[in-house]
Amino acid sequence: MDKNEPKRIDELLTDDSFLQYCRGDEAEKLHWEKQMALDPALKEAAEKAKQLYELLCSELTDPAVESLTFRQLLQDKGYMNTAAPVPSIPAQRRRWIWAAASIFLLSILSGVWLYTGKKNTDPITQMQPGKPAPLQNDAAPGKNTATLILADGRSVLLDSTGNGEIANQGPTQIVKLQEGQILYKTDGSKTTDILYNTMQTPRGGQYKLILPDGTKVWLNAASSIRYPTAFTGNERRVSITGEVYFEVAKVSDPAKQGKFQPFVVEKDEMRIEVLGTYFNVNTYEDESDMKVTLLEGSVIVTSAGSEAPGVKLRPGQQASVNNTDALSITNDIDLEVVMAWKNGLFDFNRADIKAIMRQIGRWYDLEIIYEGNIPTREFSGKITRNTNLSNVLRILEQSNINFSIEGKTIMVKP
Amino acid sequence: MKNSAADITGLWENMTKGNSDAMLALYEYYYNDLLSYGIRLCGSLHTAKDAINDVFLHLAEQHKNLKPVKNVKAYLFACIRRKVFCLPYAIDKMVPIDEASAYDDAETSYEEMLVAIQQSDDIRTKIQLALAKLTERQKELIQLKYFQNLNYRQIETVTGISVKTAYNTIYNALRVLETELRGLLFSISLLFSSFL
Repeated sequence: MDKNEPKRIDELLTDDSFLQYCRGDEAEKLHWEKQMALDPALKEAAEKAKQLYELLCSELTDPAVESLTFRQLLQDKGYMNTAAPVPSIPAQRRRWIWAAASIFLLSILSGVWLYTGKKNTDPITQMQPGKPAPLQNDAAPGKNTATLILADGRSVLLDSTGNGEIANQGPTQIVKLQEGQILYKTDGSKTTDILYNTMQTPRGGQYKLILPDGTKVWLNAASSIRYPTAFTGNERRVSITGEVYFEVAKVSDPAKQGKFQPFVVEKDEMRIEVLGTYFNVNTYEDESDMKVTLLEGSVIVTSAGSEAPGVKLRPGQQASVNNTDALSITNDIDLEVVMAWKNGLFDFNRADIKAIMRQIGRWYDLEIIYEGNIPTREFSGKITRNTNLSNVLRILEQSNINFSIEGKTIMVKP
Repeated sequence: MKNSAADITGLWENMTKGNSDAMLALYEYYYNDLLSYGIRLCGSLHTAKDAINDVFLHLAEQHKNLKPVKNVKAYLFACIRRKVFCLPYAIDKMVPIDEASAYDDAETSYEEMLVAIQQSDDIRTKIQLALAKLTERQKELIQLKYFQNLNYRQIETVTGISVKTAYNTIYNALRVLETELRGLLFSISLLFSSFL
């Protein structure tokens, strides 16, 4: 036998060739079975190593991810009514969602904006319930709406009407689930053409999408994502505009012997390379920097225009790419503020009035005009996004900022 | 996550009424247990995963005909066992399965399923304890290597940890796991080979 053949379990399990055998690679299987037939000691170690490998894999398997796949199977078979999936959330992530939910409830119940009480922060005082809205015009909050542009140029408006199949593209069916969510279904046959679709939300719209690989995508207002209807290459590559939150599915394709397909998000010169992970990308043109915020897992952010190599983010860190393509990292980001939009909130932490108005403009589809000297104070607080504009502005008005609305324009005055 | 017996019975009942969320809750709750058991029966992660999906698909298809069972976990274990060994069984015959028929073959009894569950729980606990002995860095790399199936070069790209360091970290992690699990691997291989 080959003297170099490793025999210890730990040696076997650090050997890529042996792992390929464990994953069912036929060529490696022949090689290892031959070796094992020659060497009983190797056979014994290999059997144990393979068991250790399988047991570790089974312990590392996330039931939440598997159940998402199984839900799809159930739906395809139509054995049970699975019209309104509620994807379950791995336990680690529940904490901040609950935190956001409880604050959301609190702000609804009391009708107040909480304020952090930090120095130089203008506390936003309690809103008087029942006080009549001083604005003559008002605007309704944004809705779950988006336009899906298919590969052949057809576009489908997705709004709150009707669920079910909305379009066919080759072997892929596009199915609308509950409000604000669509899903790609393939019949499993191989596609030869790679078709690109684009989902875009208008100002005053948001939408959730499940990509063909199971990756979940939330689009904030005035945002878009372009993606292939099947991820066939070495990478899963998408490009975006605006603000998008990703929950990337861990894909190990059995057709490729379980090789992991990296997920890549591109925006102009910025590139984000991803493992199964959760992160938010804010690339609005009217914001000064593009920002990538990592909640869980790991991503690598690179900026083609920057001299610096890519940076690897840790959860809670934020990478910013400024208008000269320079890349920087901020630690200990307030994730609740970053993720507020996805949880249906406006959440400001020492934000100036212009930053607040940019968000309001996108969500209520309004153009913002400033008159006179606008104070440079900072505001902190939270309020639900699911409320009329007047309720949001009323609170700001108590800090001596006035507004008037005409059509789709809002005037901000001191 | 701990569900009481009453919760499980409730989920089972709702599943028989066609509630897919109840079924998916059961699926998630027992997934790792069933997977670990299935792997010990057939030695293959893929086969075990397929068996779980096949069993639950069958339950979904037959949900109207399902009867209450006294021990959902033991029942599911028996179903997995039958599926893996392709025993003549309702799953292939498209007829409803009841609890009695699930255990109804010469080799398995309800009591034997309880023993199998106990063993399975023990093994999972031991693996969890062994994994808990690893450092965060070791755990992260084990995850990338065995779950994400990355090679050392890809690990370097993703984490910035050099090929050599990643290799050494994983090697050391495996030595810890092997030491912790030596007795376990011995006992598993007996169970495993007895079915071959």
